[in-house]
Amino acid sequence: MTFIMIRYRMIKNGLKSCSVALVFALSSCSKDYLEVEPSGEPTIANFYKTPVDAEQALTAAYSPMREMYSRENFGAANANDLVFGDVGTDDILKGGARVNDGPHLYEKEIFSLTTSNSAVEKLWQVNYKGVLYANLVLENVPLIEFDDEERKKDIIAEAHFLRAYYYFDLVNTFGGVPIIDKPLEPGEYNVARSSTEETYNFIEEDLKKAITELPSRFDKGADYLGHADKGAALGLMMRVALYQNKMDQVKTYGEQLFELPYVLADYATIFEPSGEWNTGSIFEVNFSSNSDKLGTLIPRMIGARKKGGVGFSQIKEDLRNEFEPNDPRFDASFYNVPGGYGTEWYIRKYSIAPFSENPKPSVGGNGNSGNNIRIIRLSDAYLMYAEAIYDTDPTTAIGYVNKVRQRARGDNDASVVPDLDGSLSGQALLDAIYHERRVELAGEGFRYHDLIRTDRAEALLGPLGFKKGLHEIMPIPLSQIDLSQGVLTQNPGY
Amino acid sequence: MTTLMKTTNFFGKNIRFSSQFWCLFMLCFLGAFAQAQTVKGTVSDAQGPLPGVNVILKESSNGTTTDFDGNFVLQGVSKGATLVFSYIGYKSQEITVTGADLKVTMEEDAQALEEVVVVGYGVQKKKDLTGSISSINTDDIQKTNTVSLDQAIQGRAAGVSVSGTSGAPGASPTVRIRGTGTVNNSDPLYVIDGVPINDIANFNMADAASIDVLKDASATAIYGSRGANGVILIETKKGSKRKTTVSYNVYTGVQNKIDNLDVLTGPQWAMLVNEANTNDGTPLNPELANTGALPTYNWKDAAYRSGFIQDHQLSVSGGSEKSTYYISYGYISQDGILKESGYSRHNFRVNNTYQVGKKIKVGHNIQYSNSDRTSVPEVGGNPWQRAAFVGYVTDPVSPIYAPDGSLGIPGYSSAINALGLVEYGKRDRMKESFFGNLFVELDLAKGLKFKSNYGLEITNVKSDNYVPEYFVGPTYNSPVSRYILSRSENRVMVLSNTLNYLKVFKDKHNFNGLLGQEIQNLNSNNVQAERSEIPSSVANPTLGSGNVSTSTNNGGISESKLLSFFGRLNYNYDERYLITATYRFDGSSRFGENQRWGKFPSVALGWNVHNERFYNIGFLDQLKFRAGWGETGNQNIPNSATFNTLNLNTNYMYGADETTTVGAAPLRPGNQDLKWETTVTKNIGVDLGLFNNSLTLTADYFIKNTTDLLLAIPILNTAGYKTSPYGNAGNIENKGFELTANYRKSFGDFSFSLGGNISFVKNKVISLADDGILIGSNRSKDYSRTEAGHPIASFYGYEMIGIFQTQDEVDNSAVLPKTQPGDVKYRDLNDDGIINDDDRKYIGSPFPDYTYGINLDMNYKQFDFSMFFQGSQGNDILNHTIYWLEADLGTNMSSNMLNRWTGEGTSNTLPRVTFANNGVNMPKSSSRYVKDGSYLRLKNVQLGYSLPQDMLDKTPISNLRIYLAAQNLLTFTKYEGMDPEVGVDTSDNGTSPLDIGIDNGLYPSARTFTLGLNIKF
Repeated sequence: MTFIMIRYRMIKNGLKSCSVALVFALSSCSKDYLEVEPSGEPTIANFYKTPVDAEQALTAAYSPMREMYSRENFGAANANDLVFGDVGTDDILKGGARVNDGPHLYEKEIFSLTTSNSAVEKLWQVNYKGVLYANLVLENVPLIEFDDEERKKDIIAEAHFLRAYYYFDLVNTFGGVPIIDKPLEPGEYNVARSSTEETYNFIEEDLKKAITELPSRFDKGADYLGHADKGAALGLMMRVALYQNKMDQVKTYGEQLFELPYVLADYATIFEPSGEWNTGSIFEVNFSSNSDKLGTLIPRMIGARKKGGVGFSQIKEDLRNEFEPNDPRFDASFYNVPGGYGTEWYIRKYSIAPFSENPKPSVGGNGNSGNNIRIIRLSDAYLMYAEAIYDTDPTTAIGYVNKVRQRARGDNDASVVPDLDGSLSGQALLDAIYHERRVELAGEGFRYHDLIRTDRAEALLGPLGFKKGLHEIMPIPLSQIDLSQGVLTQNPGY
Repeated sequence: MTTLMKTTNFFGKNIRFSSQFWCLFMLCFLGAFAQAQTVKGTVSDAQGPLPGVNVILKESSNGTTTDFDGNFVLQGVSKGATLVFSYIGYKSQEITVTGADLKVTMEEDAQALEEVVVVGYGVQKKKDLTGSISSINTDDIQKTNTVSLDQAIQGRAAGVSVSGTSGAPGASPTVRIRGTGTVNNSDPLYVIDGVPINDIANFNMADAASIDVLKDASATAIYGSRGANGVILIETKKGSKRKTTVSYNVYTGVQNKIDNLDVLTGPQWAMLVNEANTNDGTPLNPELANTGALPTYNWKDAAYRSGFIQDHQLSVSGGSEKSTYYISYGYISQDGILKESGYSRHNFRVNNTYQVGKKIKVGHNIQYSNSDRTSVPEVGGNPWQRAAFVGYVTDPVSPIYAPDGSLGIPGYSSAINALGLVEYGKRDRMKESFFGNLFVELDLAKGLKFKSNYGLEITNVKSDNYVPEYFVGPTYNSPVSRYILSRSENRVMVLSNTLNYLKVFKDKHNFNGLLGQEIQNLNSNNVQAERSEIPSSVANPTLGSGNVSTSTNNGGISESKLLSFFGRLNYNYDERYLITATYRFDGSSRFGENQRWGKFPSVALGWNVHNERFYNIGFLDQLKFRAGWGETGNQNIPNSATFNTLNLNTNYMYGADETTTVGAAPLRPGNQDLKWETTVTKNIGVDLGLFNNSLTLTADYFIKNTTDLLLAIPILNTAGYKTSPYGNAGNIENKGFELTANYRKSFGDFSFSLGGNISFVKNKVISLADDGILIGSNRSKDYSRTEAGHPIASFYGYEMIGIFQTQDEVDNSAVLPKTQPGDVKYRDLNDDGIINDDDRKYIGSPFPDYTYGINLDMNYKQFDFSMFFQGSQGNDILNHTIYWLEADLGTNMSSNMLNRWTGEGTSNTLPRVTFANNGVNMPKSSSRYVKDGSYLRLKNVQLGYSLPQDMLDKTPISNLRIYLAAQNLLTFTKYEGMDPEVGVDTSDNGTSPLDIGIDNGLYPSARTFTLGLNIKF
């Protein structure tokens, strides 16, 4: 019996010391052993501390803008104004290999967008990513200590521009959207939609800050190109005002813009590599066919199938007929490749060799082109301004339209794209401005919104399926409606 | 005295019950005090001296083991004492000491040998098992001539489902044990010789000595955090101490496509194109006007071929006094049935053990393998870049080759010439792996063993591909030549230390305790680089041959660690009442400090009713009940999921020279509160043996409940994050029933065995994050959803209710825009008069009602014959190939379309042909694509002949067998796609476990005929 007791005690004590050892092992060695930091990437806790971090955060805020046209994000490259935006208009045939090639585009073409359309999802996703990245700059950079206070101020102003840029794409696509003005914490993500007006106000507030604070690119070196500047902010503000039909505002900001030393460049060159950031270019999204694969997919998306493209966004006859005879802009805008599905006419503006001097990409695959996407051009600003004042100051309006027409004419005889008659006014002048916009900006993704904001969509696009009160804006992605559990409301009719 | 002892010996077992014996025994015992002496002896079996046999003086701690000549010396034994001789695999014997020199012959205990089952960190007698474990007969699977282990276990064990993902050589199928328990990776854990292995593909199946599948948590909980999806334990072959065996197995064969999908001929296709143009009111294409004169090019077979397969396995095993060895070499080479694809692998293995001292045994199991795989493009949401399928949808009137001999460009479809796709899309990948373990076993005291096992797995993958300039078609070309390189190194280090204590108290209390500790360290390191513009003058390009200004590169490192402590206690009373309890404590580096440790307990009970005294059911030899409960875990999340890391690729370019500037921004919010996913399994089972155990039955019912599901919880895009954060949300239940039955019988020279297994599993999502829907991966999100109340990855879409027959019907129904008579009619679920996304519903499930396997083996004299069927019943396949084959005239179509709608009453299943409104007839997802995927397949059939022994007597050969075999010879299915074995589609650049049962035109299974030879010396 005693023996058993001793054995029992031994076992008991043994177990005790075992447990002590175990606990010790767990608490001491495990703590270090199991502590593995992620490799290769900084964690957010160690970031947003230095001016270098601030620049990197800002650069990240530009990247969604690039992503929208990039080879990096195929879905987004199928969702932007150039490939998706004007499908369904009298300008652009969806194109591709056959009638139903690209279901997300086909749905748009037949005015039958589903709430799970992939392009619509990308528009929502990528722009809100941009909003977050801009918000991270706006929230964190003010707290970072800078030696160069001027640069700190610029970084913040650029972020305001970027947030406005992303929200403008959102409000155009969806109407009023949730306004997120700071990085959200988990649990805060479910934000209800604001009205269209509130969204526009938010955009305008951001742009006002950007306009006040940003320098002009003409006061900066060549290495500044790509950063948003005062001109970009003014140009975007004009467009924001125009889309709300706030013509006084278009006029005001237009006048400020025209004080900057922009000059119209030769139309035939503005989409060539030499035309990147030409004297009449107000804002561009930079791309390069470099080994970092920061190229754009657009030239491949809209190039002729027989020439290495996939043939989307083809030019309809209606748009070709809009051009006046001998208008040199016709050849600068389009090219023809016979055969295959569609109209056989393609957009030259974002083409690569042999249809332009933009080289075929040699790095990163054939979807990695270097063409910059021209976001705001001076002639666009001239025409916006003319449209804003056509009623109040027809002479000046005609003058601005003629600047555009003279540039189009170039060295040609005066009968080519002749000046507008100085006596034009009223609807006739307005129609002339509309005509000029359609021709000057052909294939650049403005047609759909121009028709909607001027209330011509029903008349011109009705036969194609457009319904007023429905197709001005697109459906909120179903996945988002579902996730929001009733907080996000769907647009009427979807 | 001598006479008496002899009697004792003679009556052996009976005496145990006689009272006489006790008296005799007492006499002997008393005698022992008087005359202790030294006893020597030799122990042997039928084949000669037997080393390592335990010799113990009964009822004492005095004992020894035999040396390498089978000799033993034991002191302090008196005449008349009883010695107990025991050795694993042999029947124990009790011998009474009659003189100083004993000769003992041990008898093999065949039954005992068979019935040892490998369990986590040890072995257990089958009769003592309490958990649900399936043992797979390695002889059976080695007959199947399959390349990988996971293919071979298909249909072999109840509850183990294996589904093909691709018939490509070297592709790994999906293995699921008891259903899909999680939306994460549900692959089981493979453990070879006690070491968890990450990559089973390089293991040589011929080296497997035993395969045991641990299914319920009472068996798997000892593996804690890695055990939730079941554990497959593999022990490799060892040498035997006295026999030297050389064996050589070889087979060669040929593989062909299984094809049950017909497409239209040129004239048929052109007729439909013309009809569609007429329907659409568009002008006819004059080139297709004279349909009868059009040629038919056989595109669907263009990229296919007959593939040659060969396999050689050579092994030498044996042993000497102090060591055993097993050395094997294996080589397999397989051409894919698609041109350019192929797989080859070399394996070496050396398994040795060394008895260093009486109480120390060391050993190693070391494998080196080297595989080379050439794959062809199989990926893509549309068929154009799926080499196995693109030929089926290529318009049949375009020639395969252009007149100048170059590859033809299909004129009427977007299809990429399949020959160009395989030629320029093929990618080589060389995988070199080392996998091995070193172990030492110490006998610390009687019954107490210490084992330390160190395992290391290193897998290096090298991929070097030179792709010249090419132009196969508008969507498949490269204007520059490219050199693409990648390297990756993966390392898994495992060190485990265990203490095992075995003790029998008072004959009836059997204890077996295990305590252990383990560390695991997983590392990976990868680099990718590419250059283009390689000068054509370079005959053998390398990365450096390319233009340096075109170089791109990328790379990453990741690491994770596990630290574990575990224990197990087995106790049984009189082999009647059994209990097993395990506990494991796991710490993982993947979780934040607060949630790092997971606790995984289990307990199981068993009752061997047939060992009860009251038991007297004659025909029922075995009756055993089992019940178990346990928890296991899952930590399959990215290593950095708890951190909010910043992505350094959110770049932009500034300046006229557009130099890249680094941007940094978060892609995914981190979650420091992530914790272990836990799976609770409850299992009850019964084992039966009838008619002298000629019929055995095992049945199990289980409920497997996974909670705190680790999943990327979709968050609103307004948060701005590209990828969803990981969280613990949701609850998935798998309930199921499994039955295994085997019957064997012999009549004279004829013997046969018939076996079968069947398992029913019902999968259901009980809840998910905020009860929201979890949409599938990029590829499957349009077709399937995971939502509470439905099985994982259920199919979702419109419900097709027929074909519109008249304009009147169209006018009076809810329709998609542009619907006309002859188009598909969908149900307006919410009766709102329009068909939109709100009219979608659940339209099918990829999970079968049951899966089963049937095995038949027959032997008659020198002949043997075996058949193995495997099947799946009640699963749906979302046959997305219909999207192309039965509606889209931009492609060739299925011959079914000859029965399309051409006017009122002609068809209610196949729509009219049209170019214009395919959006109506082919929405992203509808019940039109959902098909019954049930099948029964004769996976393997084999006829063998062994040479009679008397013919071999004069040769060194001990056994020679030749055989003929066929794989996938017959398939019974109503499924009309290429292959009903549609598993998880892993082609979506990695593994999305939610792409289940969607057929986008997979690389189909091959039908194989082989001729083989087995020789043993």
